[in-house]
Formats: sequence, structure tokens, C-alpha cells
Amino acid sequence: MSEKTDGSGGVESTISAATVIDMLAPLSYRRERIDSYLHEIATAVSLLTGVQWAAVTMQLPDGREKLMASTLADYAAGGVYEYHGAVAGWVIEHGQPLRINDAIADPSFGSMPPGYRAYLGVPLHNGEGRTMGTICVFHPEPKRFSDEELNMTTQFAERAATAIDNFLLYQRQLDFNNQLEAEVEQRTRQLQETQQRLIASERLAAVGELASGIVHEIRNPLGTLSMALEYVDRQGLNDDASKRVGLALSEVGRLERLLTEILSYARPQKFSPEPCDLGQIARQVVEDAGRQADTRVSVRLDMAETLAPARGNVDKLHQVLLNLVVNAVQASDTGEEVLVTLREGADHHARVSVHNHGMPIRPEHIPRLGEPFFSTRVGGTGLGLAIVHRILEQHESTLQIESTADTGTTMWFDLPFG
Amino acid sequence: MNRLTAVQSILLVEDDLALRQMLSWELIDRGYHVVAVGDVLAAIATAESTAFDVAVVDYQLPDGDGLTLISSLSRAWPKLQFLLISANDIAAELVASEASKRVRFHPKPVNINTLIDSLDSQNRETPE
Repeated sequence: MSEKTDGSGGVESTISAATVIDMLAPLSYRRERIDSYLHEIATAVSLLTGVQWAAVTMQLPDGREKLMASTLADYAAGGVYEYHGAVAGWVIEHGQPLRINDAIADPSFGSMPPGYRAYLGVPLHNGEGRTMGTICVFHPEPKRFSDEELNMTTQFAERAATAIDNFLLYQRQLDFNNQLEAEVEQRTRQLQETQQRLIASERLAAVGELASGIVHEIRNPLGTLSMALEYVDRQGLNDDASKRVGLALSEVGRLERLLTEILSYARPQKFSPEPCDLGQIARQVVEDAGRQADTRVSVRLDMAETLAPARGNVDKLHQVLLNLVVNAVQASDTGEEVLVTLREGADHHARVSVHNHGMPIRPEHIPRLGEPFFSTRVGGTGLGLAIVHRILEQHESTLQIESTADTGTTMWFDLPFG
Repeated sequence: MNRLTAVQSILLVEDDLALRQMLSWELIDRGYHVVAVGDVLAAIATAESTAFDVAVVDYQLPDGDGLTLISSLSRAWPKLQFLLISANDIAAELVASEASKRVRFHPKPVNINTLIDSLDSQNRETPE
């Protein structure tokens, strides 16, 4: 026979209240030791019912139950089981105790673990009355669990329920704290990054303003000097005088170029991205580079037949590619070739790369190549790659550099299609 | 034109091509014998084959700093005098703290007249 029970089943009493109190009294619960606490409860229930296997289960969110404590090694704590269709499932679904004397004679409450016939199950209710789990007692022989056994198990179930409820609350609080802490950390990091970007951009804007002013002030006297030197040059000078004036004029030109680069680097830049035809930019750059200079080095373009437009600013990307090509040409030896390659890269990005032979860049110099005024070339301003870095930063891209004696130097960057 | 002073020959070490050229022309016009190079390695190689009275050395060179070059050269050539040229204040302080007083400092931008004055004063103080 089986019975749902409200505790008035009229079964013979075998357990004294004093015994139960004696076993309940030493139970002490600490949140971080929930496992051993529940194990003590399972052990007490097992001892007091005289049944070998008692277990405490907890309902999981996915509809299964977890053995939180078990007195039987074959069904050790930590195991997870389907409770639907099992006797413990009945207790959870109905939120009521259940006693089954012989599950073979009465299988209507659900399946039993193989080899077990008698069952006592008590629900664990949380503070809001929701069933969180069970205390289950299984016996391999038919057995009639007494009212006292049920009452005693119910008392232990209350303790277990309180402990599990507290534990879950504590876990939720811990999770919440961790989540909060992670969120605070992430926000702080974002704030610091934003602050650093703001400071950097404010500083650059201030430097840009100062540089624009200085450049303007220098350009005027430089223009006067240039005109005066050209006048002197037209006066039929002897060779010694003429070569000096020629050198001075070329230095005026050098200063002009330096001032233009300083302005390019430092002045506040507006960025308005649009779809760009990288092929057209590259063809123009290769043409400009060929016209500008250095017939001792050839510049060749190798590009995919079709390449979707990339997202960026045409003028700025032209400047980036021109600086890279000019750099590569200057680093090349006579008769060598500079190769500009456009390809579709990974993750819906276009890859633009510029390759040259010649002396490799020393590894310790590579990280410094974007620093303003850092140059490895005699006569270099050290602003060409700094300008490239700044512009690519605006495009949320970075310049990558690889340089070895065997393969030469390749500088490349990726841009999203858009 | 030939100078009738003790300083006859100058090793000029300057990586800026235009400045190196202009200084060479000016010094040669004033009667000095000048050999001009652009880096530390070339300076050491030149000093090994030619004797100089003074080395005019830029502080910032592509393959090292001028003071290190000066200390190498001064060990090998105990009578060689030095003039360090730089726009860098640190270089001036380093020269001021230099114990032997064989090194003088001349700030950039270089003015040829004051540079010649420095050479002349060095000349007067050079023990025979």
C-alpha cells in the first residue's frame, strides 16, 4: 500500500522526540559548508529510520534534480537525475510528502531506483512555499514508514530547506556581487580609456593649434628668406657663392616640407568615412610616386581584380599609402622594386600592403616607428609614419610591420569593406 | 688661404648633409684641412688613418652619441681636442661636467664666426 500523507498516517511510533532533538541540536550550518551540513541531515534521517539510503535532492532549473547529499556510495552526492516520472518527481510536483510501502504493488506514483521498493519522500519548501527539492528515503524491502519517521524527516527537511534557501540566496548574492564588481571594473576601464583618449585628443588639439601658429609664423620669414636667396642667386655669383646659395635654397625647401608634415601630423583632423575605391587610390599613389622621384626604384601595383569599396576617407588614405610608398622607395636600393598589394583579407576586410627590399629595420626600432620625429633614415623628419599611425587610428586600424633580411620589409593595414 | 695656427686639421662629424657641406666649405675657405663624415663608424675609421688637431662632433648621430665617440677618440688620440655641437641642453651639461676639459660645447644652430672663435680659443689653450 502507498499513501500520500499529511502526517496523520497512524503508523506505529518508533522514534522519541528527544532522539530527534538530540540529533538536530548539533547540526550547525555555515553557508560555505552546505554539502557537509546536508550530508549530516541525510545521515541522521538514515539512522533514525533505520534505512540505509537517505538522500537530499535539489531541483535544478533544467527540470532535473541533483543529489546534494546521499548516504549511499552507489548514488553519490553530485549526481544529477531526471525526476519526471520518478517518485521524487511526484513529491516535487505536488509539494507533499509521500509514503510508498511497496512500489511493485503500487507503481502509480512513479518509478523507483532499481532494487528499491519502499519510499518516504518529504518536500523541501523555501520561504515562499515553493518546492526546491526533497529528502528521500529508499528501502529495498517493502516497509511501512511510521508517522514519527515522517514527522522527524519533515523536521530535518525544514532545516535542509532553510539551509538550501540560504545557500541559494548567498550564491545569488555572490553572483550579483561578482557581476557588479565586473561591471564596475569594466565601466572604470571604459571611463579611463575614454578619459585617456580625451586627454590625448585635447593635448593633440592644443599642440596642433600651437604648431599651426608656429608654422604660420615661420613660413612668412622663410618666404622672405627664400625670395632674398633667389634674388642673390640671380646676381651672377661666382661658383663658391652660387653653391652656397643653392644649398641654402634647398634647405628652405626642406624646411617647407617639414612644416607641411608638422601641420599634417598635428592639426586637428576631421574624419568623415565613406566608401573608398582603394584600387583607384593605389593607382594614383603609384603614379604620383613614379612622377615624384626616384627613377632608381620602380613601384608596381598588384591588386585583386574585384575589390569591394573600403570604409575610410579618400584623401587621408591617399596620404597613408603615399607615405608608405615614399618610405619604401627611400629604403630600397637601386634597381629594386616596391610592391603595393591590395587583397581581400580576413573578416570582411581589405588588406593594403607595401613591400620593399633593402636593409631590414632593426627589431628594436619597429615599435618606435610611429613616434613623431623618430627616424632611422638620415635626413628623415620622422613624421611620415607618425602621420600614417594617426590616420589609421582614426580608421580604427593599425599599421603592422614585418622586416627581415631575407624577405625585406612589409608594412600593411586592414580596412573594413563598407 | 692658410691659417698660421696650431689647429690645422679638423675631423667634422655631422649627420645632416647640408650642414656638413656648408661647414666644410666655410672651414676650408678659412684655411683648415677638413675631413667630413656622417656617423660614428666613419669617424673612427677616418681617425685611424689621418691625424687631426680638433674633432667637431655632433651629439646626436645615427649610430651612436657624440660623447661616446669623443671618449673613444680621446683614448686613442690623447692630444686630440674636441668641440661638441648640439641643440640639446643635456649635451651642454654633459660637456660641463667632463673632467679633462678637452671638450668644449658649441650650441646649434651653428654660427660659423663663433665656431671659429671657439676653435681659436681652443687653439690658444692647447699646450704645445
